[in-house]
Amino acid sequence: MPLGWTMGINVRMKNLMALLRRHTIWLVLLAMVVFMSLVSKSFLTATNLLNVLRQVSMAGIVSVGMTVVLIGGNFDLSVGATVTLAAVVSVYLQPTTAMNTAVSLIVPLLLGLLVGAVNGAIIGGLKANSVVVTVGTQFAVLGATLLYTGGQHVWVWTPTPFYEAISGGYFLGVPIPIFIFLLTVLAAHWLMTRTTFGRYVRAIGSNDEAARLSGIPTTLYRMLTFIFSGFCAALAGIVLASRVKNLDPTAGVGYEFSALTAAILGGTRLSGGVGNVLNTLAGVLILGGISNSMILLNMSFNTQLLARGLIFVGAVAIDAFSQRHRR
Amino acid sequence: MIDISKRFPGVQALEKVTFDVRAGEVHALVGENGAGKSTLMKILAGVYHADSGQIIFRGQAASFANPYDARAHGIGTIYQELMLVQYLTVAENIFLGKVPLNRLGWVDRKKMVQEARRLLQRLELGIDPTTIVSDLPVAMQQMVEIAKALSFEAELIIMDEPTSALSQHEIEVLFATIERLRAEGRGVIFISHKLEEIFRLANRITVLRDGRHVSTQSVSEMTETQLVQMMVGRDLTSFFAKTASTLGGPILRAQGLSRRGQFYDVSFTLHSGEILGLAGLVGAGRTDVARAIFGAEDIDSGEVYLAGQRIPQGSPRAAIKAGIGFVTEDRKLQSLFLPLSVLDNVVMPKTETMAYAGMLDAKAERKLTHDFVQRLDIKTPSLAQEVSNLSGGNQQKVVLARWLAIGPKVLIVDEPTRGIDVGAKAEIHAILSRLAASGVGILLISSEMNEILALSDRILVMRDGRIVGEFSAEHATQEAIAACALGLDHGH
Repeated sequence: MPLGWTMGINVRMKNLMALLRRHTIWLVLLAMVVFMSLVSKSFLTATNLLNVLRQVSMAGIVSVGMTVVLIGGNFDLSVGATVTLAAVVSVYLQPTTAMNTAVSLIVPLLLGLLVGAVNGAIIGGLKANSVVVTVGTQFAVLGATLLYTGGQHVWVWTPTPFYEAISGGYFLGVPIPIFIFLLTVLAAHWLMTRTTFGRYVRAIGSNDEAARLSGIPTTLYRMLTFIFSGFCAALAGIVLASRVKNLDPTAGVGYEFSALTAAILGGTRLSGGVGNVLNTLAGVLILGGISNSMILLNMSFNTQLLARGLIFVGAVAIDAFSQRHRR
Repeated sequence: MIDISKRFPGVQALEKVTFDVRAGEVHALVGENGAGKSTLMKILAGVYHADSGQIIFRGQAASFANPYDARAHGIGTIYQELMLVQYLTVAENIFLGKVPLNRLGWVDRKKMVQEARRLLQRLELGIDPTTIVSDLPVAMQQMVEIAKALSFEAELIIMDEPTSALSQHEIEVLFATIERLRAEGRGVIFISHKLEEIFRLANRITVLRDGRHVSTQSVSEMTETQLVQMMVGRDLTSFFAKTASTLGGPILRAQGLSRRGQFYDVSFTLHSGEILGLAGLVGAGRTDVARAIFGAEDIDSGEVYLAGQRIPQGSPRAAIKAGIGFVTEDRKLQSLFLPLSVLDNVVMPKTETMAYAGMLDAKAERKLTHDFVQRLDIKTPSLAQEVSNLSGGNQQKVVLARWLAIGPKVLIVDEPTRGIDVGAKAEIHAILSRLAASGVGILLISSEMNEILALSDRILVMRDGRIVGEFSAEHATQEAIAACALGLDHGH
């Protein structure tokens, strides 16, 4: 009997299985693309795909920040409000001259950092529950935004070409927002895998007490995850502002939900410590693909909402299931 | 249980193991971690199903679909980690899942409390059934588990390391209860790593090794040495491998450490190359003192000096920087990052010193971890392996590697071999003793008297938060230390 041969196959199969398990999400994405291209002729066209990518880029940027916070063992539900705040402020500052454009970019980013720092100080310093705190800051930020605008739409008629290009420009035939999104993904992936920051955040997310006893300044790093997330949300807000230019002051509401869904779909563990920004990218693409498909298939907004809810609950269930079945 | 086999992906956990328990017998099941004890018991308790083999219970072939089924048939299991709901009362816990109801279908509280009281009295325990479980000491909680098993009329009770979290006095209470169960004609399966307990309690001993049955003998036919040999399958000539070390100068000095309600005016000096044992009952304040020295807990007053330099209190970071390592009492809760890799776990406190401008030096980290994996003989398929997949002994070696990697001047080890099999235990003893020989000062906390006696150059005894005795290695005896720890005598 060629026993050695079958054993070799076994080992190879096992490695393959392990590899597949780690990247299941990419297979799901592939399956979805294949399915959609069979169902709808217009799905697998360059125009449509670039369109999908452009659409997901804003929620995608937010998802990257969310992933980092989740790996650190917390939730950030205030990101939707921060997206809104950044977008509204950016437009409100009227980026019609070079000088104003600079201000319209810098101020919202600083505000994003500030919201993150406040979240981080309360959660990191006082060890308050992150879900509760960020739901609170979400409403506070939203309220502040509404006060600032008096509840009215804000708009800008003739932004500078540079400002316009943030969402409307192309580089090598690819829309700029896609580049911003992918750069954020790569930067965060690098941070999480190659730097002290990434190692510490994983450590804190997987065992806070052990992290403290390993000499990690846990309060600081927990705070930094929220600051990073706030920054990502503000960045997404600026892209949104540049794209819409005429903003409802609740424009960013719901981004926290998409971001959370994408991160969980990508296998970020809700109990902290484990997650991969690249897999979150896959999660974002799947979500984007699904909503695009639903539009192509002429589904109503209400149906889409139902589907998004179901996908979210499904992803959470898978996370809980895989947790239970880890020995 | 006849010819039980069980295979998990990649491992043959059990290979045709035959095992029997008689009524009115305490049967000890021993073996190193991974020998198959737990798997065998989980099959008996209906958690796993055997691939082949047969279970005969009370003369009938039995196969339990799940743990509830096994329990309903009279097999009760008491796990290492207690399965009680902490915020319910004792009675509610005992009747969890089968609460007595009155005619209206409401909970019959009175009946529940009465029944619970009856069960507890049968065990001759003075526990009030209306007490909230979290208010009871661990040993009493364990008794409640036993009462719960009895409420199902358990004929066979499996106890998996029941004494690991108990103090000496509590162990006595547990043993008395086990004796009573035996006298009532019930069978008890007792899993333990502690040889003294096994020899004290068991009628017969079964040894498992690598998933196979090695021997079943009555206690009177076996000696401790034979048992250890059977467990590890090799001759352990140096069970405790203390290398002689020459004491250097003072390295760590604690002065007047106090924290209200935990410890008072604790002062001592640790020398480089010395292993200083800290003995005492569970709750005597040893762990609190250790945590305070490491900065894991604040103190009300007192100072800690390392090599003459005062280290700031309340900061593990400062303690590590000064050269103190701390192997915590509970490795899973306080030391390990279970979902992270072996490498992450070992390198963690060195991350910043090895990084360049915040960027990790992957190559140097791999080399460092690889060196320690080899030096401590950590059994792991790769450096990227998740630590949760390693055995208890190897996990503990990972924790030791972490602190050896910082090149410590002082290492505090709290219960370094708890829940670890005999082979790994001897290895860890050897590591500690070599470390002391290389000039590191070690503060050793252990509830195992043998461990303290065999390893320490000097022993301090704590009682009720104070240091109450000091023994040199030559003058220390188990009896003297125990007497001192209990407050029966004062040693010098």
